[in-house]
Parts: sequence; structure tokens; C-alpha cells
Amino acid sequence: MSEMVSNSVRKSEGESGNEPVIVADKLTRYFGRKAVVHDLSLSIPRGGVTAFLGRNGSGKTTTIRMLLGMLEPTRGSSRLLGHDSRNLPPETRARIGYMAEAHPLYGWMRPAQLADFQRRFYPRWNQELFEAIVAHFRIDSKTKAGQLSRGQRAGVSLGLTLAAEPELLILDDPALGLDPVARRLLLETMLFYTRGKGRTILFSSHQLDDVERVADHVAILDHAILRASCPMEVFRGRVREVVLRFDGQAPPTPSVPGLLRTQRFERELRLTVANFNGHAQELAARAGAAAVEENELGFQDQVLAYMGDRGDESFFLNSLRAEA
Amino acid sequence: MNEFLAMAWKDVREHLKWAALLTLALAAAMAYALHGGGVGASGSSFFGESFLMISAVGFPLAGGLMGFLVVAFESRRDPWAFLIHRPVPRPTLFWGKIVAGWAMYFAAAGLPLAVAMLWLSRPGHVAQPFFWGMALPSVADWLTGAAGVPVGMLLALRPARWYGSRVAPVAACFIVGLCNFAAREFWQSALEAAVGISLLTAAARWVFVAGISPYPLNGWGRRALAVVILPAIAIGLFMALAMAGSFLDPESPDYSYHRIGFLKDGRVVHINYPSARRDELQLQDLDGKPLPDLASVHDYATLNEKSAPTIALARQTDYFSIMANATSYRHGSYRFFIPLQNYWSGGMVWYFRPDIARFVVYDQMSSNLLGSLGPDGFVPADREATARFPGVYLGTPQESKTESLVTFTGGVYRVDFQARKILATLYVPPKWETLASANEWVEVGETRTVEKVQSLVVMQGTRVLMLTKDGEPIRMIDLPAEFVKTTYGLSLCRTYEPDRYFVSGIEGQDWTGPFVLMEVEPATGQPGEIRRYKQEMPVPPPPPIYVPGAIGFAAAPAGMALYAALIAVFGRGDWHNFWRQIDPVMTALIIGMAISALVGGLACAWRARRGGMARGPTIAWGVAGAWLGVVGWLLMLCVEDVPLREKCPGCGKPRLITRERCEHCAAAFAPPAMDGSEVFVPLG
Repeated sequence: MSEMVSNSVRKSEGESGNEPVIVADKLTRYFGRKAVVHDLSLSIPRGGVTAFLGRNGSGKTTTIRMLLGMLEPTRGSSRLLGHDSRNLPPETRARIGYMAEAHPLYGWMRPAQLADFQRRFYPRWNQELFEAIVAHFRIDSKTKAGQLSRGQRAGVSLGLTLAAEPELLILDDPALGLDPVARRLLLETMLFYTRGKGRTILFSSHQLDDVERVADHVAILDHAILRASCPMEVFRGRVREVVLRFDGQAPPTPSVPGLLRTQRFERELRLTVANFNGHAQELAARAGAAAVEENELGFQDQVLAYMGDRGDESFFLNSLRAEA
Repeated sequence: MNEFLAMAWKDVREHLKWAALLTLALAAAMAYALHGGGVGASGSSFFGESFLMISAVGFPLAGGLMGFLVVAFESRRDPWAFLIHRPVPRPTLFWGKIVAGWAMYFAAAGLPLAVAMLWLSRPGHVAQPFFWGMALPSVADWLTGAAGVPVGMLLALRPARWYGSRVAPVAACFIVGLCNFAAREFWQSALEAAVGISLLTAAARWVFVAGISPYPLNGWGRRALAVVILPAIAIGLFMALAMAGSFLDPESPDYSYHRIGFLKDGRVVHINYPSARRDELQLQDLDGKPLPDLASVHDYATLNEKSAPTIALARQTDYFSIMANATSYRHGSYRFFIPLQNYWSGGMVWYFRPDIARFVVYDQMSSNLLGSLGPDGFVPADREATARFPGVYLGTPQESKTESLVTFTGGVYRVDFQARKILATLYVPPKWETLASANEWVEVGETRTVEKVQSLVVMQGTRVLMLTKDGEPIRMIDLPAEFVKTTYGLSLCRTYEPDRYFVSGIEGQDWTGPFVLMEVEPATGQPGEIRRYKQEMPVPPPPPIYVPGAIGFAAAPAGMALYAALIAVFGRGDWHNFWRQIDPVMTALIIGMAISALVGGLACAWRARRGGMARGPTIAWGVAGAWLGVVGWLLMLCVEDVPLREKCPGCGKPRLITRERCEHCAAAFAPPAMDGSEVFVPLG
């Protein structure tokens, strides 16, 4: 399939190769009186895969829609491929692939008809690539889109998006509702698409194991606020668990900058901390702990610590125990 | 072009089944209207109420459905994203969609219409004459119905800014239909359809470009949308006002009517009756004193027995002419043929055709043309008829019975429609003279049959001729030209004791002038003295002060200016009573209007200022508010997004959330609070 994909990632005139493909500057959006995206600033360079993470309702889809110029920001601005999101010219839009969350397709069309329809709009349409992706997902070309399974719809949707040979691919939770096999197929296709081609993917997902496998960068939204935007390895190194052991009952949680989560046990406090400075002994002395241990965390635990509520209350068994 | 065609073709393919269903539904409705809608009697196919109802109401609904369908399924978030994230300008997508909607609408409505036209044009299907021009009203409706397509798109697409405003464009479509209904000529209908469709399409286009989670409309978009929404707000406001009025003032106060009557014995009397109870008459003499011998007369039936018999005389040639009433191409068939009252026609259906100036007759069972009747008698359908009745056909449609009087400006004839014969030529005016009317005089309460006819009264210019029922002259009355010119509703009256003739009428075209009575010398027929009796038209008492006040408040200066313009163009007409009623409370009307202007202007300007608009738009909205009143303010709510405000951490005043800096203290918005968990490292 690799031969089918054109290597010609075009750049518009005057556009620097080093210029970030996505730039958001203080992007803010209100729905009613509630800010669903608050002061989001982000810069994503060309090439690589960026995972956009956050809980449901944290503002991921809203951010993506603002980036694509489908929703007006309340304030702030954003640029895609060097162009203001509010007025993306058709030539720029042709270089951006977008897969919406629910994989919308015209239900009465068959995959071939969908491709035939889409190709009228995209000058760089790659029919072979589309057919290869559809075959990869084992989709019967005679079945109407409305009768395809969710995974197959995702496959057709991805085929339609990739066959336009976009430089920038934005996927809004593409794995939502897919079975493991379909997710794996999707992932393979995404990896195939991006590796070594200088192409950029921004995707939102709740499948953290998938994210860990493919993402080069992570950006985490927590209650409308961007809390992290960094390369994957930096993120992995910054979030750690500190275990404080006490001789008696564990005291109240000490004040620690970057504290994400506290798990309280009988004689133990497990703190998940971002940007921990490594001064574990100092923290132990301050908290009166008998022993201290600093552990690395798995990626899923690191992200979940960001997404969950902060403080002691995050571990609901604690409150049950307190009641008991 | 390729993208436009692709989008249009996609939508046609997608909704073709709905268009086909719509075609079937319209075809079924038209078939019912043509087949069961009284065709062959006095009704006429294209001008039948059922058929026009289908075209006037059904076509815009069909257009609306098509417009709704081409957008509705894609107006949700993800399908919308799939639609618009394409490397083409959004207007291209819009034009593809609306053209698809129009194509399906024109096909769905046009196909059954074309079939109906072809079917009607074939002889033997409908017992009536056919002219292609008869289809013009339906064709005008077909064109006007295309306004439904952008309206349907607006309904499916436009997010409602406040309750009910989403359906507002329907009112604009209704106005377009109303203008089409009021047009007198086809070209006027076509022109107003083009203007209406252009406006609605402009609004739909900008709303489409703004999207389902709308970006603010640009200036032209806002103007187009405002024009589209304005009628709905105005209509809604007046409906609300009318409903409130019906609650506040459920019963109109009673008041007395007063008019002049002329009795068989020559007396002129006042007839008084309450507005709500017309069967409670009171007769008085001209000084207002009761008349003892008429004290028992309290109802119209008894009064008619006492009243002097009258026969109507036309004032001028075209006044009672049927052809003069063919003022609109869409209301009635008179431009093509005049159906006679074929109630007792014995299986025959008669019409008068002005183009050949002859009566034509169809067989009701077979719907075939039997022949035509002219001054030369009956000519079967297979033979050419050339003789024409002279002049213009006068009078109301006749019954096609045994002995009917038919009148033309060039002659009066007695016709036996059953036997298809001209029985007699009763009167032919001298050359260069034309008749204004001809009527048969029968005694009050008698049925109009030849045996009962006492005389024939013909009006010719300013001359009234009384003839025997066979056309022999009895008497001639020459009326003064000035009298004929200034008096309307001329009638010839007769008293019995003594046997005298009078000509009566009302001075002034608006029926507000005095009752005029002129006696005719019995021997010479010369006009005698003209008497005028003041006849006050009933003037209802003025309404409570809040009614004109509320009307003025709702109408605002714009509404009153529009009303004044309509009066200037079309005249006051029968509204004179309304004005006589309103005049005394004009002050309240003006005060209501002034309050509306003040409130509307201030409310709009305040809202514009609060929304941080620049000086120009603020002034523009203030002026619009003052001009349109409350309607302007409601309009602003519909088309202008005013951003929220929240407390500024710098100065504590409310500030717009859309601005980077506070408009009062220039402070920036505070960034989100940091909690130390932030990990920001430049990517790449």
C-alpha cells in the first residue's frame, strides 16, 4: 500500500516547513454562561501523532470544531496550516482530513458511490488507496453504508479521509464504539499513513492503550483547561507516584505542588504528582512519614490522574471508610 | 461546477423517493379536484376553489418539504461536518442543494400540473371551453411555490435564537403567496415571485454559510434574514393584539343604523334599526316623528311590501358589466368565458365566450361541445359560426332557462336556452349609442316570468326607456347629465297612489352622500324637481381609548406609514367607516405610535450598546427600533447575537466575554488558575 501513497506533501507558498501546522492562541468558547474551552493555547508541529485527551465534556470536540472553523470561538484564535481557522480557504481545507466522531456517511450510498462522490471535491483523490483501505477493513463494496457495522463505517470513513491525501489529519474519537479488531485496523492504517511521510495527526481518544502505542505527543484537557501539552516521553517522566508510609494513622495530605490524586490507606498515602522535583525525603520529613518511595506509573494511570477529580475525595472508598 | 453538480445530483438521488411520493399526492389531489370538484356545472376546472387551493397552498408546502429535506438530515453536528469540510466554498454547496430542491419541487409539482393541463385541453374531458391562458394562475402558483424551498431550508437549518423564531420564515412565504393572490396580471405574479424567492434565497444562503453553530451573519445576511423574519413578527404581534382585544372587548356596543326609504304612497321616511337587531325596525317621518299607520312595521318583509318597487339602472356602461369584473387573471374565468347559472339546464352546460361573442353549450354527460348560439340562432359544433352578439355582455350571469333576457351594449334579446333559440330582439340602440342596462319590471314579490313582466326598462346613456315586454316603446325619460354623473346606485322607483315614477340614488361614490330623489313627469317623461335627504351612514361609537393606543403601539411609525401608502395607492374604499370611527381617537393612535417609537428605539440602542456594537450599527438599530417599534426590538433579538457579559476582575464592571480586554479598564482576561500539575513543553 505504501507505493500508493504520494510522498508529495505539499506546502503552500510562503509557508515555512518549520511553522506549526496547528496553532491555537487563547482559544475560548462559551455555551451559555459556561466556558467549555478556556484559554487554550497549543502549538503542534509538522509530523507526528498528537493525542488529545480528556474526559467526556472536557472540550475536545469543541476545540476540534473551532480549529476546523466549524464553530466560532468566543475569543482567541487558531490557525491551521498557516491559515486562520475562521476563513480556511478551500485549497487549505483540501489538505486537511477530518473524521467526525460518529463516522457520518450517506446511508443510501455504497462505498464505491461514496468514493465517487467524494472524489469530485478532492483534486488529489487516491482511488487505489481508498480501495486498499476498504479491502483492509474487509468491507463488501455492495453493501450500503447504512447497513455497515460501526467498525466498517469507520473504515469507509477513514478511507474517504485518507484517499484525499491530507497533510493534516484530525480525528475526533475515531475508535469510539469499535471492537478490538476494528480498533487495531484503524490504528494500523493511521500508523501507516503518518510514519515517515511528514504528515500530522491530531486525534482525540479514550483508548489509552492505543494512544500509548501511536502518539508522539499528548495534550490533556481537564474541565475546559489545557493542563498538559508535551512530547510523550516528557509526560511519562513528569508524572510519578510518591508513597508515604507512616507508623500510625496517615495524617492529612501534605501540601504538594502538582498533586493530582491521593489514595489513602491505613498507614499509607499514595500521591500522584506532576512535575515532582524528586525531593522525596524532604516531603517525607515534612509529612512525618517513616518511609518514602517514589514509583513510576503506567501511562493509563498517569492520564487518569489528570482526568479524575483532584484531592482525597477522588478515591471513593476513602469516604466509605470514613463513614464506617 | 463539478462540485456543484455533484452536490445537486447527490441530493436529487437522496430525496427522489420523497419527490415521487409528493408527485403522487399532488396528482391524486388534482385528480380529485378536477373530477369531483363540480366540473361541468357552474364551476370551472382551473378556476375551481379546490384546484386553486391545491396550487396556492399545496405547492408552497411541497416546496417547503423539498427544501427541508435537502438540509434536514445534514443539519446535525457530525453530518454537517461531513458536508461542509470539503475544499469548496460553502455557497457552492448551498447552490447545489437549493438547485436540487428546486429541481425536485418543480418536477414534483409541475408533472401533475402538466398532465392536468393536457387532460383538460383534450375535448370531451370537461364540459367547458379550454384556453391555455386558464392555466396561468396555477403556473403562477407553481412559480411562487418555489419560495417554499429556501423557507424549508431555513426551517431545517437556522438555529432558533428565541422560541418560535425558527418558523418565522413561513410568514414571509405566506406574504409572497398573498402578493401572488392579489396580482392582477401574470407578469405581476411572476415578478413578485422572483423578488420574494430572491429575498428568501439570500437569507437561506447566508444562514447556510454561517452554519448550524452559527458564525455571526454578515451585514447582508442580517438584512436578508431581517426582511424574511419581519412579517412573522408583525403578524404575530397583531394576532396577539387581536386576541388580547377580543378578551378585553368581547362585545361591540350596540348603535343605530339610519337610512332613507321611499314608500309606494310617495312618502319618504327614516328607517332606524339597531346594528345588532336588524329585524327591529322603526319608521319615522323626516322630522323624526313616529308614523302611526306604520307602527306595526318592524321587519324587512313587511317594509318591502310598503316600499316603492324599484328597478336598477346602471350609471355607466362598465359599472355592471361582467367583463369589467374580469380585473384579475386568477379570480374567475371571465377573461375566457362566463359560466351561466346552469342549475336547470337539462343536461346542457352554457357559457358565454367573449372572444366569439356567442353562447356555447356542452353536453354534460359526454362533455362534448354541442354548438353555439348567436344572433343568427344556434349553430352546431361542426359548422362555423360567424355572427356575434353586438357589444359587451352586460348584467349578471343568467340562468340558462327557457326565456332569459340577455343584454349587450348593442342590443337586448330574449333567448330560450332550452330550445337553443333567439326568441326576440327586444331593443337595438341607434348606431353610436350603447346600452348601460336592461331590466324587466315585475311586481314586488312576483317571480320573473314572461307572463308577469310588466315592462322592459333600458338605460342608454342618460336616457331611460320604458318598453313593453315585447319591445314596444311606452315612455322615455331623459335624465340630466350632471345628475347621472354624480349619483350612484341609480334606480327607477314607482308609486301607485298616485301612479308616479321617480329616479333615486345616492350622491357620491363612497355611499356617504345624501339620498337623492327626482320625480319624472308622468306625461312627458321630463325630469322634475330633485330632492336631497340627508342620510347619515351609521357611525359606530368610538372604541375605548386603549384600542387605538394599542394599535398605534403595535403598528409603530412603519406600520402606519405602510397603511397610509396602501390607502394612497388603493384608496379608502369601504374603510371609510373605520376612519370615521378612528378619527376621534386619532390622538390615542399617535400617542401609542410615539411610545412605540420611543420604546423600540431606546431598547434597540441599549441592546446594541450593551453588545459592544460600534457607533454606526448602534445608531442604525436605534433608528430601526424607532421606526418599527416593538417589532424592531424583537427583530433585533432574532438577527443580532449580543454576547454575554461577566464581571471584570480588574474593575468589577460587566465586560463582554468576546473581547480580549475589558472595554472599561483594558484588563485582559485572567488565565486559568495554575495548580502546579501543568506540563507544557514545546512540541517538535
